[in-house]
Amino acid sequence: MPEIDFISSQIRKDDDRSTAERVRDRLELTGYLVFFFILFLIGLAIKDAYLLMGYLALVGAGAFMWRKLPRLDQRFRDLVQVHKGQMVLVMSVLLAVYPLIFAHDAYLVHLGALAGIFVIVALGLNITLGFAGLLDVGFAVYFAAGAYTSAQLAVIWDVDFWVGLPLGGLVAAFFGFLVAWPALRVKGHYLAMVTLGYGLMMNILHRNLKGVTNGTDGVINIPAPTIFGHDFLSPITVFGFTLPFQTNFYYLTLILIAITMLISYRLLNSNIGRRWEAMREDDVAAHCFGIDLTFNKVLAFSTGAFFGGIGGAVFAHMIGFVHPDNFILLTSITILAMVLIGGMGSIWGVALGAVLLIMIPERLRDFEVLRMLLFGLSMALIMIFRPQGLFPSQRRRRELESARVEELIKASGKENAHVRPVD
Amino acid sequence: MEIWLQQLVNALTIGGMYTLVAVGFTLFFGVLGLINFAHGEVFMFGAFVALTVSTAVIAAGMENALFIIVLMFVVSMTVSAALGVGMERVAFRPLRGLPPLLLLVTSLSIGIVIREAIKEFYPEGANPLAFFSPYSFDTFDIGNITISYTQAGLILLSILLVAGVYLLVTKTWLGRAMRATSEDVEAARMMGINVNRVIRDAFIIGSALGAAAGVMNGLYYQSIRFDMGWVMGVKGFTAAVIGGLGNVYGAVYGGYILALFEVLVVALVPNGSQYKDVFVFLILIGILVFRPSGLLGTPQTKVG
Repeated sequence: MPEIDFISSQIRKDDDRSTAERVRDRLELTGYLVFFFILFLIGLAIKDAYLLMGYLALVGAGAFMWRKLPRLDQRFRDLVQVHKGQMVLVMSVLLAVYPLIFAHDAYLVHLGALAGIFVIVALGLNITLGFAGLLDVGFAVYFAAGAYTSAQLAVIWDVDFWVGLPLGGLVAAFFGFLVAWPALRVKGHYLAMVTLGYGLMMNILHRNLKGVTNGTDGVINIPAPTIFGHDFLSPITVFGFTLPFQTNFYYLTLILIAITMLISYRLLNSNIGRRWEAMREDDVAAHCFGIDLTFNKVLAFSTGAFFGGIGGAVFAHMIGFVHPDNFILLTSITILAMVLIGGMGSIWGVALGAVLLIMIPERLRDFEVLRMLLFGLSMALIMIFRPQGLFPSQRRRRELESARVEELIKASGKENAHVRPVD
Repeated sequence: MEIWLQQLVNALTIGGMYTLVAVGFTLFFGVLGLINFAHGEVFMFGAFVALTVSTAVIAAGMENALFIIVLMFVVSMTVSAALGVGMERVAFRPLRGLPPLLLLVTSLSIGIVIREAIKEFYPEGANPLAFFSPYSFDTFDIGNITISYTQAGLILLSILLVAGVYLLVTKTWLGRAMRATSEDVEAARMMGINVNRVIRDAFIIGSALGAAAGVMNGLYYQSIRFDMGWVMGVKGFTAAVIGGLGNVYGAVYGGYILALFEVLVVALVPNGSQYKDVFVFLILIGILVFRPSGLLGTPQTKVG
């Protein structure tokens, strides 16, 4: 299928550049990515919270300067746009060596795995919210559904993780399906409120339905997965080089992320993805063109929820303990924030948003008391000053720009119409 | 029978607070199309301001309890109104016209900021704090029901405030401008209404009423906590939805209906107090989905 190019980029896929130029482009892209990855690693390696704050400020200032150089920025975007395959390759290699770099520090590997879980969950919400435009402010429900299902199956019936994982996803998808029915009738704010109420309600049920969830005692002693007789709780030894056992979970999440990204990408560029986008832009028009809104909305909710459940199942088996406090409203807001900060609809952006939102607060543990305050403050600031997210998809960027321009026109029109102030 | 009457009195007290919070939600939604999740935190903030006032005034040697309470209300409502206006100016105005989700998340984030700021910077802010409530143990009887003076005062005050809002919205220029703005911003603008000013005034009124509810909550339960705003926010929002979001008249009865309903659930459902909030959320979802213009329904309400 020929890909429709909505973006006028300076480099074209089908142009007549020589092989040498293409190789140079690829090398240049690799250089950028490695540079960013090293910046990221330096940030992780900084132990002192104050120093880290300074570093983050420095990187933030750097990013700001970067935005002020439109040619460099555009160049990078073009490179990513044209050499997608190269980017995937480089990123895979870099992420695969991550545990080797931090082999001496099990905590950082654990952090990597935790971030990986939330990347999966955030990519799930990205399908519902970013692709189909359906606000879901209760995403922790699906995360919980996956975690509880897989955990209870393993603890009570001794079901293997590899069976519990997809089952967790399916049960979560069912919970998505449940909320999709009432959600069909509402839009915008009302939809957000319905899903928010759903999330709060389910959390109360987690606490009180002791027969299903063990209530506030939580589910404990969840066994770790095994694969081909290799227990996930034993370290990996390669060539006499020992990696901490968290590496198992790290690679598991990495593989699941790859699968999730692939599915996301294929969905977005498939018939279904196009229908979702049409629905997001204008559901009445979409309906007129024969798109079955009911089916597609339910599908979007369930698909997103499925990945939320997968993330939850891995989470349960990695931490070994599931408690209702893991699924409070703040969890839902954090997942939502990952998608919004990353940039709705942009697969790589959302993944990066999830990584940042897990790692930065974890590394700022020294600021324990101020952590939440900083979280709220930075969220509000990002929403106000960069509502399209840090790494928006091109289309989303344009949409918001045009919305803002319309508002500006309205505001300026008001100045003229405003002849005589009232009261 | 007495039990039911007693419950009715309790419902009236709580319902008054719900109503006051709901009026804020409904005003903001009317003029700005915004569900302001920081509103619950304004309620909590108001209670903390009042606590500060009472502590300071008592430390200064003031002893007239009634005067202290009046002062608590006045200062708390003023400061919170300023907070509401500041919030609108700094956070919501730059986002006008952008998709609702961004406004929603911004207001949630601002709520987190207010809550955490109180928790961290107010002395002992992370613990429940005792609230100055001198009349809570003086009671009088009507027939077989016992009412404390605090409760009676709160019921009266909430009815007064609600009546005041009602008059403001129906009888004054400002009220008419607000209704016009919530009906159609563009048309209101063409009629010479300064929409920015109307929005600002809506935030003043809404936040002041929310703060009043916060002080009342403190007086009623005699203790306040940094995290009480969130629950109240959801309840107040539900009350506003019951009355029809954007419809000020609706908010007035929504709060009382919600409170009555809660009391009934606790009384009739086994383990009711545990599942009380589940029912509240079910009502919220049910009404949003099946009767988006409110329980009693008013055709002129805008549905979005």
